[in-house]
Amino acid sequence: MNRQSRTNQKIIIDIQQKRIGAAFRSIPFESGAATAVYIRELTDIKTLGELVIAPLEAHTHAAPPGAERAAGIVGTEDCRVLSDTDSIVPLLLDGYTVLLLSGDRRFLAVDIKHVEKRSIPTPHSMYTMRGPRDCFIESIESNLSLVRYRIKDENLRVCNRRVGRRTKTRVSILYIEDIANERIVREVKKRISAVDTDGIIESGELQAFMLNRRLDLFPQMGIVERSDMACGALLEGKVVVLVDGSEWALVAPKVLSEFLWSCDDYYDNKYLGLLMRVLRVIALFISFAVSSLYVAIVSFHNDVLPSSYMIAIAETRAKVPFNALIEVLLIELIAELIRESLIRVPTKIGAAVGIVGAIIIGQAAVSAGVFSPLLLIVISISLIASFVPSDYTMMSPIRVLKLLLILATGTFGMFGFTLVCTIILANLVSIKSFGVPYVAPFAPFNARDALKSFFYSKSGAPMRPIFLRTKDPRRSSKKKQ
Amino acid sequence: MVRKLLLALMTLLAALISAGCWDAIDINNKNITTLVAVDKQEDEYVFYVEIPGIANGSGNDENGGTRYSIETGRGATFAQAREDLNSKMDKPIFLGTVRTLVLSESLAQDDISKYLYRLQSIPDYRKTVGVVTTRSPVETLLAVQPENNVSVGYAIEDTAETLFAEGEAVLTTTSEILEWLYSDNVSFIIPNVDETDGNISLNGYTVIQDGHSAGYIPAQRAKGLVCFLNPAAEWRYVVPYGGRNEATVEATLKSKRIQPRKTEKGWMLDTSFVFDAIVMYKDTETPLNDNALFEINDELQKLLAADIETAVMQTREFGCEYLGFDDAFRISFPNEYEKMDWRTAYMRMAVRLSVKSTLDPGGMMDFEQKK
Repeated sequence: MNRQSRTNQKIIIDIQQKRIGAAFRSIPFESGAATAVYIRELTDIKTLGELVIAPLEAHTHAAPPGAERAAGIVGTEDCRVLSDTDSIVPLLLDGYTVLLLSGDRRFLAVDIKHVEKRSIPTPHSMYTMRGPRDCFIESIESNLSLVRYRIKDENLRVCNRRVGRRTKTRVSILYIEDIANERIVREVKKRISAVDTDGIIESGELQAFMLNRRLDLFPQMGIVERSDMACGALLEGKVVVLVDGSEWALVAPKVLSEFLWSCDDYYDNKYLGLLMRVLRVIALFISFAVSSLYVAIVSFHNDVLPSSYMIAIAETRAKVPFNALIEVLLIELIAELIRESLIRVPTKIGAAVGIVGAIIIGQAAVSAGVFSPLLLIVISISLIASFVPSDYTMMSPIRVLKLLLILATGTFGMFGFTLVCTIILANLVSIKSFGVPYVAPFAPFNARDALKSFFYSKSGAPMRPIFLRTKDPRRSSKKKQ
Repeated sequence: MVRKLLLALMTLLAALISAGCWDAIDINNKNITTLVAVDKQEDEYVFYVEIPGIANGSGNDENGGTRYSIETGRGATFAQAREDLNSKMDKPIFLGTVRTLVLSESLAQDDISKYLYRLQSIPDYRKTVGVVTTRSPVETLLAVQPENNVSVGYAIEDTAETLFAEGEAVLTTTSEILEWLYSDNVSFIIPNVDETDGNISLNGYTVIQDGHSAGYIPAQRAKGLVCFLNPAAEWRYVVPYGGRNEATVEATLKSKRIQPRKTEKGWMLDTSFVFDAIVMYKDTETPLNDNALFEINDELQKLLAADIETAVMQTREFGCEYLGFDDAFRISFPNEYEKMDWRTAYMRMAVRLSVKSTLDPGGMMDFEQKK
């Protein structure tokens, strides 16, 4: 046994002692041996046999080859010659097969990783009438391939990082170099590098780490599950972050108005798009404010309604034992219970829960005089409106703020409503998403972008948004004559 | 940090002072009022309020409509009458929903300003509430069962607004009356609604001067008055032509202009009216040739001029001006207006009327050609 064989033996013992579930396969040569070390669950065993073991066995009549020669014998694409033995365990945990050679102090790291993954599904959160049906899955390689498939640009950059001391999750930062604003790219990379945690399992965790301040309520990055939307964002000059193990990609920067746009806006008729965008703004306002306005009108400012409506509302509330604030808080609680239960229960009984919640409880509560029928209508509309914006991450802060608004309005009337709205507005205008003002292009106001954000479809627009300050502001190659 | 904390505390304090849940009264815990009527009977004032029955859903009638009830309060003064009314109420009265304010003829003859000044200090009271007078006993008017089970307050408002929209009536609101009451020498009119054969009908106008009733103009004699005060006045006239034929013509006010000017003989109010007219009905036997159209138009202008002149004569008769001449004069001659006693000066002013109309034969069949 030569000196290198003894060293390899020691390495193998070290790996065994670490109990990471590594398997060993020795290939004896005429003088010495090569040992393949791998983790069975992460390795494609068939490929290992066919492309690593079998070619090496064909050379066992001679002395074990050196690292370069072995790399030539092994038939895989990603085969690296390394010498840092400290990196062996991390490589094994990452799915690499390590080939220790008794004839060379260096070793081979062969990528024949095999991870169980599902096939490319259809989107389940970002439905669209028109457009591709493929969306991201948990495998970052598959997700990258979907992006590469759509953007065949040599300037598409993919920067990889490892995040999480224990999970060592692979994070890929994607951007198109000659479009994306360098400052934004730098900021994204900086924030990802600064993440200090032992593990990142899902992109949502990374998103939380990348907030300006840890207590910020509004999301400063968008999420996409559709690869076409991620590509659209890249073409617009944004940065897309893929996280291994997460089917949601992150998009930065993202301004408030963009949370209201849907994937249909990329492909559909622009006039319909305009209508839908206005509808989504109205839906956002309804979901946020309508229950508070109900409290304000019923308890404080009765005179803002025409008399006939007032009489109708008074009649519907005649038997209700609670004041408007308590009534709204109770029914909001029930609505949240139904929403939460519908998310958790299996799809098949979801409809039954919906019927029980919406019809039976609603009908019974009205008949019993616990709630007024008008309030049920108000809350139902509010609930339906909350599902309209396509990016649900925007609705989470809205749901929280809605409760605050109801409490403030129930206590101070329209004064409280105005006060909370002013505070929220002040907060919104002070936020920046990776250096871009959150309420751009409305504050700071840019007429062209503001108009464009309503009137033109994104993909059809000849110019990229000014607020992104992209390197290449034009999407079309030349001006229209 | 301390400054920010102070700012937050100040904001909260301001919020607490400005409004609070202690001010809140839910809509169903108020007596929603759809009509207020004020009457003077001998030496006491009487308040009537019309309230929908909403408590526990028991206020609905057999058809499911809202049943309205009338509550009254009496007293030697307005304050006593209100206290009497309050003592009969289970919930606070909410006046923000009042559709109509009814003033009895007896109150109008006494003084309406006493009550109307009070409206300024009631923030709930909408300033666009229509005001009417009534010559019917108030109880009789309020006992009317309007169509569609609506309240009397709504019925009066709807009647007045419909007639105004059709160009056949004049509306008066509380804010206008308050403005007029504040101005010196300003007279005005209030529509008068009465109970007629179990229905509510607008029968005329009460002329108010210095807060008192100065006279009454029946609706039949108020066509000219409406032409002055309704910018979309619209009347129909049966116009004779060709010796034995008649055509019904609808005349719609297109424009009105009052131009005061000073002449050698004194102040002159040049008043011109332009109407668009259309033939509605006519004898089919005789065609409307150019001569006939000219004749009808000429006759129509005379009829319109007569009605407008009647309106001017009525102002002389009542000794007060309410047709809007004062506004036109004040705008044209503000300094002179300040110096003069408008009421006296107006009586001496000459009013020159000019009425023009453009007649449209109505696009009816050309019978001449048919023959």
